[in-house]
Amino acid sequence: MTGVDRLLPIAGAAFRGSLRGSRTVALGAIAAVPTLIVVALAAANASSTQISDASLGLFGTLTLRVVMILVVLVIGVAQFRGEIEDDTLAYLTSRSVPRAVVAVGKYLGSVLACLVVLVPSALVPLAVAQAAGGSPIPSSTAFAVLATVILGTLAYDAVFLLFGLVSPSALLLGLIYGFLWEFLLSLLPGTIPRITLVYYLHALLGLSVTSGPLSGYPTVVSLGEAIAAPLGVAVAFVSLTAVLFRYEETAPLRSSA
Amino acid sequence: MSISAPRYAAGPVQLRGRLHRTLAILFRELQERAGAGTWFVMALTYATVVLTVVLGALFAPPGGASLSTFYSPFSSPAWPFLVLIVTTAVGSGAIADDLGNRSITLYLSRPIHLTDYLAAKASAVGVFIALAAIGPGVAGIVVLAGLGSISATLALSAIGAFIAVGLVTVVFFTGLAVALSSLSTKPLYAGVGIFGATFAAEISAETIGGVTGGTSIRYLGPFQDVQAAATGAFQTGASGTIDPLGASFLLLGAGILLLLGAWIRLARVEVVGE
Amino acid sequence: MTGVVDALAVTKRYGEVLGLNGFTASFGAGITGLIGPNGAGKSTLFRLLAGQLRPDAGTLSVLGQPAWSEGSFRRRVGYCPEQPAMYDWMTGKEFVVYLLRVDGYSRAEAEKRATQAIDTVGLTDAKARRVRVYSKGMRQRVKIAQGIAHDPELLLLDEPLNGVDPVGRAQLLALFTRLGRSGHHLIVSSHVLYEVERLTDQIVMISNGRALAQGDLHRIRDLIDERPHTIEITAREPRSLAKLLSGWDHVVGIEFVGPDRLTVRSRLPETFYRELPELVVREGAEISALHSSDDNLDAVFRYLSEGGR
Repeated sequence: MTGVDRLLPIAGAAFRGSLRGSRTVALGAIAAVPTLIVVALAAANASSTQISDASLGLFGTLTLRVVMILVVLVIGVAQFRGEIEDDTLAYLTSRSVPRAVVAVGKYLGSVLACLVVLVPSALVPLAVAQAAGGSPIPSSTAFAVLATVILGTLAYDAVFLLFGLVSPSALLLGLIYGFLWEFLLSLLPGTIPRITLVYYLHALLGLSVTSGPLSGYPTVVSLGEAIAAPLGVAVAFVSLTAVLFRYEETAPLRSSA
Repeated sequence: MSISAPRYAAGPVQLRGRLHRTLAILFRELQERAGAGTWFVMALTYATVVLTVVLGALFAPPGGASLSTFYSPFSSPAWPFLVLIVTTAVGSGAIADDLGNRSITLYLSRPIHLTDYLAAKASAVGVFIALAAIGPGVAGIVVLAGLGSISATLALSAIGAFIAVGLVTVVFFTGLAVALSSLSTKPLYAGVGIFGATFAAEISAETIGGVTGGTSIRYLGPFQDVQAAATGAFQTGASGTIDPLGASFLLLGAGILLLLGAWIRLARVEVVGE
Repeated sequence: MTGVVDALAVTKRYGEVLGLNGFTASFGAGITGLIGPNGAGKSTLFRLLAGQLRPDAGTLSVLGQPAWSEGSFRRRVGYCPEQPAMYDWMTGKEFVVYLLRVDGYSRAEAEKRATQAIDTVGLTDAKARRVRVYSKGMRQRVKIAQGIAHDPELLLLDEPLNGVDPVGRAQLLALFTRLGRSGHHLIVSSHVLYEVERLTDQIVMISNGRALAQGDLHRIRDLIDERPHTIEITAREPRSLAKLLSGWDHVVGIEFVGPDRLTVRSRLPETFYRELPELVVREGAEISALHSSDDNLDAVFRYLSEGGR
């Protein structure tokens, strides 16, 4: 069998392992917040424009900046860190499967798991806004939102996968990256925000959405660059993870000897 | 091989009081949480806040610095993130670690009360959050007073205001961290919960409040409450939509309720072995 | 050295702690027992053999390949780790099937092999239950099942009998014996000498990260028996007792270590323990405690590590 054939069981296990038990409930609760806010607005008799604008605005402020970071952090970091802490990685690393295949399989499974949580989190508020009588949201906007979720997940998951492999403090590192680096640097003037991923995700929205709250993100990059940057980050970090995993000792640092 | 008649020789032992036992857990927890990651985020917090305070006062508009000048850290976008990261670094594992590795059994099988255990854990978390929420502001004022840039009266007032706002922040975030840490065996989930709960409440309050124009919903946002408390303590004169005193009591009350929730949760914990 | 597993001056550090300290040994065909007290370095050696850890120094080869390498040769090796952790959310069968599929087996073949392996370890009734609800003994069995399911040439079993009930132990020992007889090579670690004694005569003794002795168990025992056995006795009248014991041929030394205690050194401990009760009854000697600090494996290791070889 080829390495690709072995990807499927590893990706499948990573997917199933990521969405189980109380973790799913917790992630679901975080992902449901944007929808709940839109429902609350509808219940408060907000105007149709307000509901539509809020549902789109929440994608930029809450889903993209908070929900996506947290969901991908939990799932991405746990792929390696969870197994290293639980001491279960031995079952995979003692098998004949190349370690690079393990890394890529885990990445694909975790991306899929993230999307199962994040796609509804991004699109359901828009659907609820429509159902509650909000102004029509163009399908191109919904498509831009979906593309942003997919690209963001691909890029952030690759980053957090690496953090989980190399650092025992992956959570802290992930939070610092997700909320200090990605948030604060994107607020700075000049070209500094271009070293954040969120800049390109915002650029993608700004270039694809022509009206409404998501159209207001200024950018100097082209649509191609806005798509290529997150994809490039994803490929680079997954490759780096695969290479490092090949040379990484996978037992806990202190053994019972 | 060993054969001997059993003889129980242990006599009555005078145990030290509950305070000593609580302190033993507290000091252990302080040691545990004082890792490199915690100090790194703490250093980042001090650098950011001290700079904000000092530069804000040195470049104050004509008329010089007043108490309201020192409100600046609370309006900075960095402050909430830094406080939350410190809270996560020190609080996410406070109880989750003990639940995960089952050492909570060892604690609770000793002659200590659950209340003592929880008080010790909360105190340790609170100490670190206080270091991040109160310390940098006070340090900035001390630097300014040392440079002779502000009067002693103003310095004392500002320190008092930082302590007042810091304390309500400490109570709320300690309660949040301890409560969420008691719900999971993995610090990762507790940590993400701290961020998720705070931002979900914050953005909900802001969005719903912004659209509907309702003021009471804004009390839902923890950082909006902290900001409101700060506007009162630093006498900024800004007439916000949230009452400073009400926001302070809300944070204190929510923090205490969260701690109570953690107590109830731990009272129901059953720890089983393999 | 051209064994199934060859270790030459292998050193592994955990920070300042030495897991293995210049470990040199050769594990031959058939079943070899790796014996050592807790903390001796057994699990470190297994983790190195399984390719989880990299040696800091020395060379370690498994079936002629460097242990720290990946590739198809790993399909010839089965590993049953010591730690009880598994993917708790899978059923026992799913767990074995998953690892077989990772090894490259088709789903149908993996299902077939997993069912066989689970039957072999006696876990058929529980195969559809989640690992989370398994007892420690059941976890051991499913770990062994995943280790043997791909019919490896070499099976690494790290403390495989931990937590298994006596009946299960007998079954698993019989399984290991069967595997050994059918041409598989097994390395089985334990800190309980008699468990390994029932499996094989070939042992490697490890202590403090070093190989202390290697070869036939009975020869090593003979070497150990050359050393007098020390027994500490607490008695009401130690001097009278010493007088009686001094007449025994195999007693080579008596020392008073307290007002009511003496230590006796005997070359034949079994004879000593058989004759002592008779003496007590016959002479009415009052003995309140009897303790032998070296009547256990630790003492054997201490003896060997102190240079008794």
